[in-house]
Amino acid sequence: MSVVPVLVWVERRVCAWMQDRVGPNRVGPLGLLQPLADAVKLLFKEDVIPAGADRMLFVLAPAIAFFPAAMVAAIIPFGAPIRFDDSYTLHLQVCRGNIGMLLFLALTGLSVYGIAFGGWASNNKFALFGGLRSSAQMISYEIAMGLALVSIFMSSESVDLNRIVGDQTGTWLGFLPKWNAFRQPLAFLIFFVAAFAENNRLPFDLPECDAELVGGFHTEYSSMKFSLFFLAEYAAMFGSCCLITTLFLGGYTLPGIDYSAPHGTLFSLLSIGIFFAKTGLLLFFYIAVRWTLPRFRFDQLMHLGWKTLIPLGLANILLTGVISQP
Amino acid sequence: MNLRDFFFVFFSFLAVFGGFLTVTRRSPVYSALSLVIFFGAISGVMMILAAPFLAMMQMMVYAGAILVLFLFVIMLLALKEEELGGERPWPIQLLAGLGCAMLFGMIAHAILKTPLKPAAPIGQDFGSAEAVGHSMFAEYVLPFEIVSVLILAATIGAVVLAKKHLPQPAPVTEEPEEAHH
Amino acid sequence: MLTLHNCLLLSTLLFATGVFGVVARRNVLIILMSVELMLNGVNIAFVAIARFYPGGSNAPAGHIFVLLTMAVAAAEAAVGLAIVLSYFRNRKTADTDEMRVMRW
Repeated sequence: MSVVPVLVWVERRVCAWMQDRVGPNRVGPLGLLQPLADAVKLLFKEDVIPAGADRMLFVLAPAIAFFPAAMVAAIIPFGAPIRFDDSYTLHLQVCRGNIGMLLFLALTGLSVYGIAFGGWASNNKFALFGGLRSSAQMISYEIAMGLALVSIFMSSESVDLNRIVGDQTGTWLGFLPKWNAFRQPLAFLIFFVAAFAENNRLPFDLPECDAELVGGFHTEYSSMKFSLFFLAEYAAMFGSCCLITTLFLGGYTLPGIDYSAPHGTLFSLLSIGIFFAKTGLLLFFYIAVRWTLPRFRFDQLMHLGWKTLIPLGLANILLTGVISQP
Repeated sequence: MNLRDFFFVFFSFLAVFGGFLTVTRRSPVYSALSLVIFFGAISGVMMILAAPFLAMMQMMVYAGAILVLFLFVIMLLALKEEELGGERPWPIQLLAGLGCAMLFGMIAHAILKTPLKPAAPIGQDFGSAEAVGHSMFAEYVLPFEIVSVLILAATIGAVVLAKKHLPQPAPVTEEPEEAHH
Repeated sequence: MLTLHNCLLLSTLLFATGVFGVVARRNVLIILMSVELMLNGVNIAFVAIARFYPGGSNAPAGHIFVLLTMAVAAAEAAVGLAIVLSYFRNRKTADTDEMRVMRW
């Protein structure tokens, strides 16, 4: 959650750089305190609940939106396990066990509700349409995401994230790391695109952009509730990037190092650094894409999700099954 | 009472509460919200009953897909408060409640009368994705295939039933080119 | 606390709640949701029996049956909601007491 203000700052500076201007640089050194100023401003704004809005759902919706986004971080292994002297191994993953990725898919399904209830509870036609469109978009791309994940499960023969990360150590030909991005490039592409759509980020942010449906599902929200929606979006973005790093880019591992035996604390700290470096690269790419590409029209979005990504995902599963025949 | 029992009691109370709210709310949106809580609680109970794969499937299928479908239809119908229609008069509802209580009583009596055999031990991998996958694609592949045909039939049926029949546009007479401007 | 009796009692309670919802409510959407309630109650019963009497396998028939039941419930919800939508488009009502086109 503390990543989100940093992310907001990074986004505004990167967008400014891409648009050939400077971006916020007055508040604090290099404008680093800008997100703090934004947060204070949002806290002091008047909290409006529209007349005729469903009060309980209106207040609950941002919380429902935030909960799955925050929980994605529970399944991700952030670094190599730390082995203490008295044979106690600290795993840097909150929720261990072999259902990690299924939990992510379940949480993705839950993240639709915050937006749907937010749109409904606002008693506002634009908000309702934005909410419904966003929900339709999210459930469509869930399927493509799941299909891309199935081929990863097939090639790693496990649903456990630790096992998937472990399978990505080692290299081919001595220099090309055995990451799933190279073993399953089509799955990487599909999952990446689907992750953009799941997070309602450009180029898939039709339901919430300013030019189309006023503000989409968060038209009527102000101050704390709006900031909670905002937080949820950035937290989901961060969670997706962490997950893509873990699944496709080797997680916290570097090629060529043996990760089968737990190493010391410094090694684990370095692996956390590696993980965040990879995630940071992906986040930069996310932000760069937002300020580069135009947005999809809604029917183009649906066409991409249903008629392009799902057949590609199925073809990928077939291909994986055929190729990995022992 | 250890932690597992505590969570079992907690989740079962949550499930009963969610179920009760679902059948008693007037607006379908609140019913759907309580159903989300209900599905979450059922998923928790399944986790405690050593079925982790099923618990995740429950969340994914019920809370993630079926209920979203319900929510879509509820929001598309967009019934206002006055359009919701009356409910049954309270004596009828009381009678229905008594009938259901009697149903519960009869089945509970039958359950409590049967003696318990000692529970069999379960392995470490009980209920995991691998175990369910092995079982499903080895012994139970025929029901799996039949259910997949059923889902295909349901998909086609739902699309055909819910299709909006747009009126056919009237045939356009050909305009001569020079009359364009 | 976690005995088969308690689990089956929970399952029966949820089932009875679902039956009440189907019988005592008029709104067709709530009736469909109560049907889901009943199905989930039965799913709990299957999982509980599979947990206590697994019969030697790591994924007993109870688990498989629950998965297939979930699939059937999804199919039934989809078709049921499609019917509700198309009926609402024609008759503008979602009240089961007014759906008496085919009654005598």
